[in-house]
Amino acid sequence: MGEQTLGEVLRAARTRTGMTLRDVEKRTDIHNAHLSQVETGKITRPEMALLWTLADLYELSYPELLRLSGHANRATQPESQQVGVALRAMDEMDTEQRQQVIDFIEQLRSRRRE
Amino acid sequence: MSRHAPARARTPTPFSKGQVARIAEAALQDAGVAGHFPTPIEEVQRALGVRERLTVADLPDAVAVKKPSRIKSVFGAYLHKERTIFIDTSQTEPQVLFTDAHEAIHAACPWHEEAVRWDGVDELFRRRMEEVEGEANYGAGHLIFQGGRFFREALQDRVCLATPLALASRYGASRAATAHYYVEEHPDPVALLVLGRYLHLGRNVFPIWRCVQSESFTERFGSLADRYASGVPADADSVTGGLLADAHSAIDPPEVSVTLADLNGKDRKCVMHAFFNQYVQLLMLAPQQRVAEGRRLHLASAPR
Repeated sequence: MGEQTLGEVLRAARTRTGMTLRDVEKRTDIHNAHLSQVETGKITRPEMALLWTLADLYELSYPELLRLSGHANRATQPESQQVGVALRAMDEMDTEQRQQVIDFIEQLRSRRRE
Repeated sequence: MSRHAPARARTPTPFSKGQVARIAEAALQDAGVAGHFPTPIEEVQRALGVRERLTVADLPDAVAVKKPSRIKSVFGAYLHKERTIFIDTSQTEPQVLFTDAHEAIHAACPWHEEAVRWDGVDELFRRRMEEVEGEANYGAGHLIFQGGRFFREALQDRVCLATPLALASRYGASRAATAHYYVEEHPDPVALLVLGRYLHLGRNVFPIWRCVQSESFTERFGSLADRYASGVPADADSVTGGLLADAHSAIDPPEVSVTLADLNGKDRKCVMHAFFNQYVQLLMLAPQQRVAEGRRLHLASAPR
């Protein structure tokens, strides 16, 4: 038996809580029809804000929901060394360029403390 | 030299917009700056738990020579774990304000940190960045203009380009950013095309860099950019070309009456306005108005 889909995981979680689609809507502002489309797989890649909201409501792993929805290749681990940096730049950077900029900013922080 | 807006940011979904707007309003309330203009964004950042705000100016001279060349293209950054913002303060004041507000939204939205974790820049990472960048841009607008508070003023005047342009300095924002927010959040049908100032690929049209529309414009007319799929006519004999040429020398945005078919095929009388800020051309379109009184304004409420 294959892995559960995103929709199946969310539906199972909602069912466990005893909430109806409308109950979830009242608590989260996620329209019940929209949530139904996510649970039935008509929408397979909902926005991350929605996934976060449901992860919080149902006590699920948000990184795992990102993976199931195709937003990420694999879920990060809590001790992950991966860097969480939002860069707003004029143009796109490759991996090396991005790392150089992050290293520079980190250096700026440590120099400021000296 | 002005740097243009960063590459790609996706328009947030209605759900995301609602969440971000509520978060932005809560941040303003928590910082005690709701109703203060220009919004003191650094106070909002402090209330959000941002620990440090760095600029290249903080850099000791001895290290300055080792700046990576790519740092020049970085407007700002937010380091989630360190709760640190980096800002390029060589931008104009309105651009610094926007970037500060943009990074504050990254700090405020709890789903952003996980979204920007990476172990290599790949297509999935780029798509996640487009989504959170779009939300941060949207939220920045709410921190700067504060939703209903901006529209209490803006809706006292007629729907036209001159209205947001006149309000820009009060909010500390650029005129283009103010026009963008005005159109995007307006309760009435309004659309804005942001055009390049130079002809496109040798043809007699201006390229559309961005199309912004109010929800009600989209419901009534669909996409305005689709009606100019080949670009906006620039020749002086065309309606748009003549209007844009006038805008280059006018003090106040010139306007012209036009007709636009709605999605039911019915022709609607509209007014088109133009403005040139020396970098981009703005073209705004709205149906001719009757005076509307007794508007209800909705302020985003705090998150649940």
